[in-house]
Amino acid sequence: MKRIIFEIIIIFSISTISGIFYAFIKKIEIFPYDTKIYIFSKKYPEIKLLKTNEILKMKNIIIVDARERIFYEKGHIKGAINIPYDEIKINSYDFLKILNKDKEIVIYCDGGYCEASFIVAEFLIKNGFKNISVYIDGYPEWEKKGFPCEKNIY
Amino acid sequence: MVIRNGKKRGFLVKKIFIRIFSVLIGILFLYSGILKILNPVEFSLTVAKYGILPEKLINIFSVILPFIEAFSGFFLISGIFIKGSSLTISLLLLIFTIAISYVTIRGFSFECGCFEIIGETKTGILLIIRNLILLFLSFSIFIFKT
Repeated sequence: MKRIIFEIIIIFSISTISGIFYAFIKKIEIFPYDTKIYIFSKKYPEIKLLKTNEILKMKNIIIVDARERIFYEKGHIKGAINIPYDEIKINSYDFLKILNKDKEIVIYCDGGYCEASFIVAEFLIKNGFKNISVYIDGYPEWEKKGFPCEKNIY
Repeated sequence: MVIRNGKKRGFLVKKIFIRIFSVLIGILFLYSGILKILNPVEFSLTVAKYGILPEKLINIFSVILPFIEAFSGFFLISGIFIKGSSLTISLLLLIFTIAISYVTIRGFSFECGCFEIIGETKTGILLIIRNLILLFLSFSIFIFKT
């Protein structure tokens, strides 16, 4: 029994030391201030990330809901247009037609760690759009804070 | 005499099988660990999607866990610390299975962040069954060795 505990302690110790050393070399923040922002900004460095308070200050923007159609119809940010992440390959032409390249585009999905916004953001960047941001808190946060929402409008 | 020889042969066959399984599971975990070490951000995001760990612990967990997998796999292949590494791997598989079951019950499905080389990689029932088989094998190695 003692032998097994000893072996496990050795494995865990070597792994912890190696992991921390690796994080140091790779400049990975072990305890970032905001984990969500940190992970997404590392994975998608070209996309700007916004929180709720920053969205509220912005004017003249296009808001895009990247969730599936069914969720958009159940409720979305007032004035948002729906570009479902699962339909961008099928209806790409229609989606690109309704957006204005000169305006700032803010994309959102379910908050948390949903990647739908980033899939749509990457699609737009590939198609020549430059002012793309992702609203990182997403629809649940917007709704929870009581900001304007609407339903079943497409 | 005949019985003793039979027992000896049975023991030898068992030993060979255990060695084969040790190497196979070792390779699997070493590969999986290295893959995660090479893609730390991708793995952090997968850990975050499970929604089990507090946000503050996601990065430290994502940095240390791949090394635990890789070292346990390496020890299992090399034949050093077989008891400790097989028990560690069994514990890891048990934790992974609980985590996958938790997200499956909640109705989520995403890339599991586990061994891409063997079959299903999306969270779901198939993945739970696969993990249980691996858990059985790794725990058998531990039981046999002790």
